[in-house]
Amino acid sequence: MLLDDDRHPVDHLAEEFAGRIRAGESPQIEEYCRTHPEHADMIRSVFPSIQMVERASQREEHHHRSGDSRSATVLSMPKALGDFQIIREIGRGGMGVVYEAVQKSLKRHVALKVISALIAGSEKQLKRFRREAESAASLHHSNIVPVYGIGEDHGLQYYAMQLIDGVTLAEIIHHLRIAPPDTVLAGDTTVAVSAPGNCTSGNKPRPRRFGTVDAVLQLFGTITSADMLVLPESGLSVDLSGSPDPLAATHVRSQTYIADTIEDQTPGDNGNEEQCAAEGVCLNLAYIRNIARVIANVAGAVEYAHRQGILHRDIKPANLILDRDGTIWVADFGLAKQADLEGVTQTGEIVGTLRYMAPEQLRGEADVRTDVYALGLTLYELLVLKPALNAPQLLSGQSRPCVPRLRTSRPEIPADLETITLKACIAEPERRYQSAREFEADLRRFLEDRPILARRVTLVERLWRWSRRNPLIASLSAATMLLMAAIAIILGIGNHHIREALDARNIEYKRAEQNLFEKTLALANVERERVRAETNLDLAISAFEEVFNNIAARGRSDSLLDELSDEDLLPSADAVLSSADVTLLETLLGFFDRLAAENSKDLSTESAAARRRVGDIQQQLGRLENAQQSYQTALDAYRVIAGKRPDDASLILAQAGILHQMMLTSAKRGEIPVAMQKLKELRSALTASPAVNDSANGRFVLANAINGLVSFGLRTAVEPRYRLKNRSFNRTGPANNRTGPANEPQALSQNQKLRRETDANVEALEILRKLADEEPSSVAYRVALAQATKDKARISQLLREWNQADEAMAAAIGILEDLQKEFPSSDRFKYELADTLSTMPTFRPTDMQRLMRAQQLCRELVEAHPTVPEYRGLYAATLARIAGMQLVQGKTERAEETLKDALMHHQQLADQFPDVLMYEFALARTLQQLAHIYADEKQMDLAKGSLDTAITRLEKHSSRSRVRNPVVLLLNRLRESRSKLGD
Amino acid sequence: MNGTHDDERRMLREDGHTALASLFSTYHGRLEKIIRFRLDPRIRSRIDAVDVLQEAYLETSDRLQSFLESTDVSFFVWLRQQTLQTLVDVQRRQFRQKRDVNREIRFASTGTSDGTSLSIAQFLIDQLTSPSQVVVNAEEMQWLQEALNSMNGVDREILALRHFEQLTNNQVAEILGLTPTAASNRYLRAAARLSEILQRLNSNTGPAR
Repeated sequence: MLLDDDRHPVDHLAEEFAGRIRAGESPQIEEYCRTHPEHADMIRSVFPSIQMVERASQREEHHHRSGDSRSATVLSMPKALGDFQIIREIGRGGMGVVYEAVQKSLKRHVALKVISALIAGSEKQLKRFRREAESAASLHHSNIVPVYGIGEDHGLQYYAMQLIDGVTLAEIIHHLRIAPPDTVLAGDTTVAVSAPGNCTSGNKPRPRRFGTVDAVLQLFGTITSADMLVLPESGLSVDLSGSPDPLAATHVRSQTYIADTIEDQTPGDNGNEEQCAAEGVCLNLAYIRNIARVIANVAGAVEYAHRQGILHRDIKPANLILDRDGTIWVADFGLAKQADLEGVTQTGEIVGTLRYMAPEQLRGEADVRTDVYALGLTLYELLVLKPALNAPQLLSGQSRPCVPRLRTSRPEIPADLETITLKACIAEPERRYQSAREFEADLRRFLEDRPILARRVTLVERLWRWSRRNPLIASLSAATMLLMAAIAIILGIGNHHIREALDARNIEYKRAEQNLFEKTLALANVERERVRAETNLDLAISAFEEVFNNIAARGRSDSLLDELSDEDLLPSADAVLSSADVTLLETLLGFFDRLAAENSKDLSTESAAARRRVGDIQQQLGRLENAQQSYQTALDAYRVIAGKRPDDASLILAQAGILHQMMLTSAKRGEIPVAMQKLKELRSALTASPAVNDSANGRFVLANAINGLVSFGLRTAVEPRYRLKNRSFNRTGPANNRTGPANEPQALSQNQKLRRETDANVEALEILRKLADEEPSSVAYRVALAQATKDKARISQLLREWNQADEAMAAAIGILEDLQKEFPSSDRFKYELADTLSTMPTFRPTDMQRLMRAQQLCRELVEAHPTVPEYRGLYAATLARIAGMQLVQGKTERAEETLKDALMHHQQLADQFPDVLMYEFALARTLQQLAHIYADEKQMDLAKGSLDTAITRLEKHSSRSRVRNPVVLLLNRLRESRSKLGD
Repeated sequence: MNGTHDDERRMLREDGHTALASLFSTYHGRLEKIIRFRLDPRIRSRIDAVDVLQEAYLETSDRLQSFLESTDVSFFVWLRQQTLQTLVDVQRRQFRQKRDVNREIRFASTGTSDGTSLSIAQFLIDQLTSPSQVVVNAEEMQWLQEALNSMNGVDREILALRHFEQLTNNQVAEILGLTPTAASNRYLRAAARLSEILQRLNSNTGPAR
């Protein structure tokens, strides 16, 4: 036997043998002797101890993981206990062992729970256990596992309860956490059921058992059950007392009651949990609603018990069983030991149970709100598929942190449900739902789409409560302290804004806030006794960045997209920021500089990033010139740093981000050539770096830059608005409108130009298709792909390749329709869809339908968020396009009405953002269009009036705008029209 | 194996504390297991493995530079040493603080090597105890511990490292300063010896499972 290292061959065998035991197998020693006869003697002398030691080690692990550190003692399986004949063991957990048994006198199958003697402990505790079990037996509720009775035999305490054919919610969570998404979501039941080995217990085939996969499919709505989609009260209880021959039926039925056993079934995978959770599955709406319904039913059952004066004390996914009818069953009522938690907090070893324990329970107090808390955490875990709090957080001592927001990791969860869940999990009992009934009622409200009563916890409250729970903050350095105080103020103001204008819309903001808390908390946890200056600095810097990020993100329209898109595909919105923000930021910048001066660490990157943030905020406030300057400063700083670190892709991406913002700023100021120039710089910066080409993020940014170039290129090639049939005035061709930079030869014909755009578009599409293939779940890629496809449609239209244009347009709309369906509450996709629907009318009847749909979507957006300028702008533009169609169809009067409506919105935007030339342009063109109509209707005074207004406004602009050419050109056209009308 | 070591070292050199945090969380579970195994049973109810880990993390992050400067040790082995040192410190503090804990001692214990015996004995007794017995017989515990004590200290340690800490033979060799061949041979010898001990214990305590 030749082996790769210097170990004894039997050592290799021993290692394999031990590995199999660790994996939960039961390898036989004789098997090894047979296959390796030459080592048989040695195997016989070495393996028994390995077997023993490994089993002991495994067992210790189990007990540790199931939270039962004290009762390492194994209970044997008795043949019979009292009236009960034991058939088999079906579960093992912290409380004891669960057997399937037959009650001889009644000939019924029951689940028999035998309490470990160590758990039962002293005589006093035993008495209390019996009292509790007796009162639990008095509970009669359609969602509570009935307790038939309790008894004692051979010195063992046991109680009998109904046997439920179902799976615990812990198993379901575990399954969803480890199963690949397509297994979970497979519509084909047989496929899914054929592979249950990885999720259900045991290796034996159990043909008719209601398995985890069935339960999951049920929850996802793939298969329906009696109870899942109907009212909870109709849940059927499974009563086997009528079973004619219970013993014979056993093996076929394998009715299973499992409690606390999920950990036992999956030894050795603890290291993978985080990873699996991160991959996870995508939850559909059916699942989310079914979970809400299930938990509402549990809350109902818990409320019923509370009214009888019985607390559960140990609600957790492993104690909730879902049966094949979709009925949820609460097990182990009142059986957890009461207020005897000293050992628990001291050993810190029973994370399994600790995980769901309310903070007050750790202090030995419990009331109805304690059960609410545990149920809240259970709901959390079912929705997020990972525990709300991890072990170090749980055991970190006196303070218990807030649970992270659900939508941070699972944006598909509705905001209301998130609010409900978080309210149930608030650490302070007085701020939680005060009863299970309140909790249930809010869940029902959510299910019926009625407004919920829970209110989002405001940021100021969170900060305040956080600092109260974290006295460690006092040990931070003075400069950091000041920064923290400033942050608190800014967050407070941010919160005010949110309440007023943004409500729950701004996920970006929430994420930033969350990060801030998590970072600070993580630090506080690690700190304990020592606080390091270096770490403090990092904290301060990251906190600072978070504040910038969240202020910058404020007022942006819904950014559901992942961080890949935070360079915003959509120009940012302005309205909810105020100049007070800038003042505060400047104050913060002062602290930042001080901090930088106090520390020797090189902060140039952080400083450059901060300048860029300032630019973002100025841009959002419409201070475009200031923004441009800030961006330039930041860009220069980055270039200096990049000079020292030429291979750092992140620096190039940072520069790309700034160039992108500069492009947007230029575009807003009407400086299209400058904007295109920025995009070209961006593109060459990106293509020059191999590191960028290697990263998905880099390729994505590149594709977006190309997308932008194509869009601008198309705009300068043909401005659709000018192509409207112009009957009253001379048409001013777009070719005259070109003010391109020197490297764009004027002689380029439109077709040549289009060819160039086509190439670029093909390149962008190729990158994006690949990215979307590599990561189909990324919504950012899909949105960008839709945009590139839309550009393709526009190019085809200009080339008069109508079929291709239609095809591409339908594809773009298809992508966005899908996104909108997947995320119906996302404004972002609604916006993109509306924008695409209203693109480039070709004056066919189908276009009108699309425009009307776009109008409807825009109206919803504007009504929901009157302060977001992009929504209003798109609404007005859509109206103007509808008016164009109406004109072509000869519906002049209606066109006039529509245009007036558009005019109102344009005017509002132009007045609100005088610096943003785009809005002024749009207003002028709408006025011009309206003047056409008036002229056609021979209402010359009105026509003149419209043109005069447009001219006066633009003249005001031309005097202060740096962008002379486009303004002058438009002014010339307006004046020309005006002169034809005479005085 | 060396590839991993080099990778870890390179990560730590390049990303410093960020890399340390991520590596630490990779080994978190194993270290916790090691602490639970090594934790003095007398204070198990007072000390939380997670607390020790947190403290160990702070220590390692303090001493990261010294690791990077050394060349002769793999990261995991170094991390384990740091963690165990932290554990020793924590335990020492505990015993100083709570003198009365010492009165609860049921079994004599001197030095770390005996600590290993005690730890192993504790776990094995749990496994050996026949089903009818709920409370472990202190006499048997004593006997097993003595038997384990009679084993060569290094052999005993090898068993603990291989099975309770689940280390590889190479790691064991590195920790104990043995060649892999010697470590492997001693491991097999120790396992055979333990089999004998257990067999005798089993026949003393009546029919086991």
